[in-house]
Amino acid sequence: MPTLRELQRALSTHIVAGDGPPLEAWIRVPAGADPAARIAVYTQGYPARVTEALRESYPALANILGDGSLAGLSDRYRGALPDEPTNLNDIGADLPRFLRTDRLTEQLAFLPELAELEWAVTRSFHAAACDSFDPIDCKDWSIEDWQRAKICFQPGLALLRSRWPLRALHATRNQDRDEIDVDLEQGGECVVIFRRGFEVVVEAVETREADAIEAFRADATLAEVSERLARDDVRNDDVVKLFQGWVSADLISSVHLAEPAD
Amino acid sequence: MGFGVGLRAEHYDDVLAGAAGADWFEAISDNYMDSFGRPLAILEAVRRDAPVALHGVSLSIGSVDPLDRDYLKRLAALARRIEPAIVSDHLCWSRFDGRSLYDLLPLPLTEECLEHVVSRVQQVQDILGRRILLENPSTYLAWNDSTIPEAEFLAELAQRADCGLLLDVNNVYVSAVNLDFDPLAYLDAIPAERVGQIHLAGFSDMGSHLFDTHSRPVSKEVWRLYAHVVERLGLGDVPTMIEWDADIPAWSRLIEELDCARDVCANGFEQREIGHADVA
Repeated sequence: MPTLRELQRALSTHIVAGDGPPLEAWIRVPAGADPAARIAVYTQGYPARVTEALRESYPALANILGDGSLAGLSDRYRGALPDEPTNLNDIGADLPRFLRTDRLTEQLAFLPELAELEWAVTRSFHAAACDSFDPIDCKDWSIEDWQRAKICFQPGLALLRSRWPLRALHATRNQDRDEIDVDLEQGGECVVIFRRGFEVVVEAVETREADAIEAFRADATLAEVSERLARDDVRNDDVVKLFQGWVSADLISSVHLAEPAD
Repeated sequence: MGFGVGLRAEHYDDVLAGAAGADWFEAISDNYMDSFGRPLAILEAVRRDAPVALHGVSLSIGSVDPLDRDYLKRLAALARRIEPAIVSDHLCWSRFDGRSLYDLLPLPLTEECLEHVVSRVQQVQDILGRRILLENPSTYLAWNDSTIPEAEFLAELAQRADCGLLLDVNNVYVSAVNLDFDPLAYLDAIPAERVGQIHLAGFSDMGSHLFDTHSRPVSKEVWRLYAHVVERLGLGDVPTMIEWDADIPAWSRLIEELDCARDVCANGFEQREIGHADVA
């Protein structure tokens, strides 16, 4: 009589690896029922659920690949995961990184970056919305104060720089598979992903805006960001316009002052 | 609480627009505990107007792995936020050696397993600070070593751990066909006073077995069992809901199904109108 641990190890090995000690002697099914078919209900359910969860998180990628390739990718991905997250909704978190070395990427080089975009969209959809920054909170700040200002963006904001036309690739999630036709030669783009209310938005941004977002997210002050952008001939006025755009799009959760340098 | 439905993304707009028909909603805990965007905002909006039950699929109460404290912490946080009428999960295991298997896997119904599950239910209830309900799962095989019929296992578990039961009538029927036992005898062995919620759903006939797909209307057989639950076990006042998770119909069709449940509860199965019987 196997212990509870032995029994769970045996069935989980069958489910995860497709082999393990013979289970037929340990189970009971009615006369006429096929024990192997009943075990298969569990062993086949696991890969199917993982594949469906990936399809949910990566609709464009799934549509581009088609059912067969997606199932194959899902199998390879599962095999490479050190362990699965408790929540099935999180199973796709590592897929962008996995795709960088997967054989599919040899033919479809854009896959890792498309996956990165789709995972960012998923995360943005579920991200918390902090209170919005209100400029009135800073009405008494001096010019010197503003030089020390640091910006915190909403948690749902992400930035991606890609060699590929990410928005066109992302749009394929809603297209008939036979009609997908993206011109990959059109070049890459920087995109920001953010929430407008409950809707996730993917918008292209210029390189200088991407540079500014990246610098603020790396904890730079407004003075430091302005100085960095000035090297690329970006004027202070342009930085102010970027800031105003972020405020009106509700991308900023707070602005605070860095401690003055000693 | 009356008659409820599962809260699914396909019906968010209907629910927010105040579509009538459901007295309460059941939300899958796992879909809301790690989300702070639209799903959680909608669940909170729903909760402002109606009772909510939180139903989990990842507690893995029967696993030999340690309880997932992080999962429980996040579930407790969601429960504090939503203040649900009911918190439930399944009598099953779904994790081994740190790996999640994303299924409701069958337990050997033995004294060893019963003691194990009782201890873990008590720990979970201590952590959550409330009683939980455990649901009878659909099963496709039984372990040879099982010595306790499932209904008796659940009755004993509920008594020893002082937990409640979520009676899934569809699961009783699916398991009864798949494992060849009498579903009425099963239902009669369930301690009625421990049943805090009832699930109704549809299954798919795979030829060799019934599969719990939640993708179809409730079958005639399950309506009959539900009528038995109401009439013989006196569970007409227990919160009852329709689960429909795949091939999800329009809100109006879902509410038709819920109205069937109201009808069976009030009038019994044999007295149902032809139109309702046809949906099975």
